[in-house]
Amino acid sequence: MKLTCKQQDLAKGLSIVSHAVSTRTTLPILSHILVATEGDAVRLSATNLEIGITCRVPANVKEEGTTTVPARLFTDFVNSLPPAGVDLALQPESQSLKVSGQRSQATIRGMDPSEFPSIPAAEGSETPVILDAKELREMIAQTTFAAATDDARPVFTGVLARVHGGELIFAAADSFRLAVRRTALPGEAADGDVLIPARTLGELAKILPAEGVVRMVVTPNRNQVLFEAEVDDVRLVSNLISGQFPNFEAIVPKGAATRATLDATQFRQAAKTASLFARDSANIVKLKVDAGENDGMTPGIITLQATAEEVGDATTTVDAAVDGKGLEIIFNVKYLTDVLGVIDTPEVALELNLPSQPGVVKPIGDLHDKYTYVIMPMHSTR
Amino acid sequence: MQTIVGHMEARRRLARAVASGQVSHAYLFTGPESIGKTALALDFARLLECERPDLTTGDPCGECSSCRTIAHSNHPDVTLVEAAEGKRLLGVDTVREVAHLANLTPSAGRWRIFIIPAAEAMTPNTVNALLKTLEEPPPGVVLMLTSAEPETLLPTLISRCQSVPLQPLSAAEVTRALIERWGMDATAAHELAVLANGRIGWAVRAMEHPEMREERRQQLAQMLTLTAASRDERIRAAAALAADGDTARRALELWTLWWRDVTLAACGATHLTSEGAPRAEAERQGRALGPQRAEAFLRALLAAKVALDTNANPRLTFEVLLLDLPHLAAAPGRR
Ligand SMILES: [Zn+2]
Repeated sequence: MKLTCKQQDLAKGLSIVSHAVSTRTTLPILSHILVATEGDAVRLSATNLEIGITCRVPANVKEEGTTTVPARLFTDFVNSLPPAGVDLALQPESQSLKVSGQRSQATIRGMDPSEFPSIPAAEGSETPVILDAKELREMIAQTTFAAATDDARPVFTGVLARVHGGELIFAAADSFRLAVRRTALPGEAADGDVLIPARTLGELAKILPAEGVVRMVVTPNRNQVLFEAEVDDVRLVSNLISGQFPNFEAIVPKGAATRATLDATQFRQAAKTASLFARDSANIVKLKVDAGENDGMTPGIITLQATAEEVGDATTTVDAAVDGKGLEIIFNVKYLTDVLGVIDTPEVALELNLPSQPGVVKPIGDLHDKYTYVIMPMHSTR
Repeated sequence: MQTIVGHMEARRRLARAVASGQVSHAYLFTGPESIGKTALALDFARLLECERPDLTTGDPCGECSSCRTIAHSNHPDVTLVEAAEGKRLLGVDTVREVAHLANLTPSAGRWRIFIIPAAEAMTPNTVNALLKTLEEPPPGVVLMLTSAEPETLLPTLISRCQSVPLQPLSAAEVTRALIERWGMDATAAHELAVLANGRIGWAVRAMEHPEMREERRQQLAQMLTLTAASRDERIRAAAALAADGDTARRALELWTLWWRDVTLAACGATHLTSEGAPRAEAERQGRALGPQRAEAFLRALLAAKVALDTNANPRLTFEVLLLDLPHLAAAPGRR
């Protein structure tokens, strides 16, 4: 291997793949980055026991070759170089990579690259799911936060990705809430479900380019899912969670006895204020929905009330257009602030039935039919 | 490709399970230290992941990428779970990570395999973190535990594993392996095999470390004379042994093997005694003591090991132990 590339490009590529470098692995090869020439580029790959990330860095390749280098050392060294050309030259007998920057050079010992776990490509797969990078990032943000973070029930640590009827659906849940985001797919795609670790999608969101096409493919053995962005040819492959995600459709309430439309910013602010006082009381916040009068003079109002034992209490009101009758319901306020933090439409809808039945939060506008957030009420403790 | 040394019966049994598609989700390999329990678990992992295994012999092909990466500890689906550096016990975080990874599909192969050597080195908390994976194993997961002290494991752990009991190798097997695979000459190989007591792992390590052989020779000689030693001599021996934790541990291990033989001989089961240590002396001591006293001291040895593992004072532990050691007249021609 013999090539020249720009320090800035190399550093950027390394920062992308470093998201998959294992921090606490027992496998020696996983603390390494695979460096391989590919046409007029050099491909960098890193993988841990859960995900693998690979991307292309433009390069002037004079001689092809492949090796691995210790990730930390190589990344730190490249980052220490000034923004100028960097030469990489492999001495195959010793499996050492000579890295030459403007004023410093280093020789870094690698390992047999044939033992590096392979990262599949979307090429050749029959029907990749075609996605837009910007929307995919939004889908991830709007669902992953609802997944459980502990392994007590493994399926809840994942996001269900379901291709069905020309749609891609992301669904995540723990025992108290459910977030469902859907999007229409442009081309044909084969129906099927996979359960992707929420942690994986979090990493994907960090490395996705700002825009452009992203292809999603499930490997033929259905053990891994692959996301491939056109920009920089960034690929992320992830192992899946074994197990069956619950039938989430059954959890979504079919109608609403009470439907309130609120200004999203006001609602978010009110929930935040209430959360300050709810911190010490299990995040309990009481929502009182006042339907107002049908005379057009007395608008609806939603009151958020939180009590901090021994400290005080807070009450905030938000104007609302309310359809249906008034009621009181208790929620974990964190579950409200979480969802209001990932909706950026000007208005949101709050749909309720009985104080003991789940409520629904939805954006209003284009996203209305694409996003549904279901939240279980808490029981009154007094 | 070299297969592991010995354990033919266990290997055949495991190969049959693979051939008939009846791979269990958890195995417990038991037997004395350093006889190749972890090596057999790794060999089994290779057989499971190998792309072209020979299921009649139970041999992995040794050439496919799975075989090669497992041999170099680089297979992403085969994890050797070990205590963090400098720790004797397996941490609960390490086992939680295993439980987490067990819920994921394999990367390269058909199975996700976790090998946990020395399963007795888990606290109850750590075992609890593992139990859920054992009780509701995700598809494709195989846990392989090994233990030299299965009697100290929690029954809930044992009941969920298929047991694979392993015996020390015969001196002939160890001798042959040392000659054929490690190129030793016949005399040296036989001498080392005698010291090894059927523990091939120890023999291979001792091959490169003459001081290990020397220490063992001395410990063996000391052990043979201690039953005839006076009280003062025993207390001096205890102080010397307790001076260094690792030496103490190895001495205990050797004595346990020896007293196993003495107890077996006392019961008349001389065909089961190992060929390593001097058989005649074991038989003489066994006959002189009788099964009950021999077994009582064997139990005292096991208790001392547990005490040392739980940070008891080594010197006190050894003094108590050596004062419990039955007193016997020296064998004719010794001392
Ligand atoms: Zn093979």
